[in-house]
Amino acid sequence: MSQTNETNPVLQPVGEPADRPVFTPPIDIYESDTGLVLIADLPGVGVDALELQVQDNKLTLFGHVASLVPPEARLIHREYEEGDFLRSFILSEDVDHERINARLNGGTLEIHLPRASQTQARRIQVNGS
Amino acid sequence: MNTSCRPESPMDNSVEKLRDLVAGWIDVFATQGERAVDLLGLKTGAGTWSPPVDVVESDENVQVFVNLPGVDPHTVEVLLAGNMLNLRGDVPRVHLPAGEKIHRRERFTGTFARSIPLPAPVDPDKVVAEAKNGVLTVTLSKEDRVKPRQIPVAVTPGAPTMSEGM
Repeated sequence: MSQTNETNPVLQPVGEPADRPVFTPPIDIYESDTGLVLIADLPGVGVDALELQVQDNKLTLFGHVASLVPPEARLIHREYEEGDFLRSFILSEDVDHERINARLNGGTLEIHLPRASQTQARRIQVNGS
Repeated sequence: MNTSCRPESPMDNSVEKLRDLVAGWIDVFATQGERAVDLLGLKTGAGTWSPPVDVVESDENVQVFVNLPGVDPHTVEVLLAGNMLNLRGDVPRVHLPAGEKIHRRERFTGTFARSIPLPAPVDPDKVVAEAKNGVLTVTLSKEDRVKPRQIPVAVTPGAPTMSEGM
């Protein structure tokens, strides 16, 4: 019944040393008429290296960053630390999980979280006798 | 005033501290270039920021890596001036339709500029800039004279060769 024994692919990328640092990507969140829009900066993450998962109202994004530095190169100056991106969010009850969609474009991930339609304002007909 | 025979006073201490502080700043400037201005909290002109960079060197090339997520690579200005690589561009801010509300704004936006001193002389005609997944890579080919070169050893036929011992 419990899912805790299950291996979570998001948190355990295969073939990577466990001591690789994990960073929290910066995000913007906007609210529109139809729902929430979440934008995350994930430089160096390709579509194949991105995992996006919704489980128990928790949205988790994990981006694996592959090094671009050729193996024979000498490091002259380093300001970036090599690591992966991980961040999770608790979704509010009114997000329609089925209609969540995301798009990765040039290192930024845009996630649309549409509000479930039943929470939109609805006129209730009151019948008189 | 004779300072040499005076025991340590609070004044000496603060001068020492100030000297250490300034020496620290000079260190940061020497290693970080203009990014130091950001690191030390001193603001350059009108809202520009300096992205971090990695610089690596191989036998043939010098490569510079910059994370620029969300930036159209065509809008980035890559300028080589002597031994200084200058990058400049703009991270667009998302335009919200009227009535939308911002909950969180953590991402950097606005104009950025960074000048990077290169560790070796490069050929200005052999510079390639490419962007992938929000990472800009500038590959600069080193000048031929600084590339390691194998010198072939010519052996004259019939000439006496060196032998060990006498």
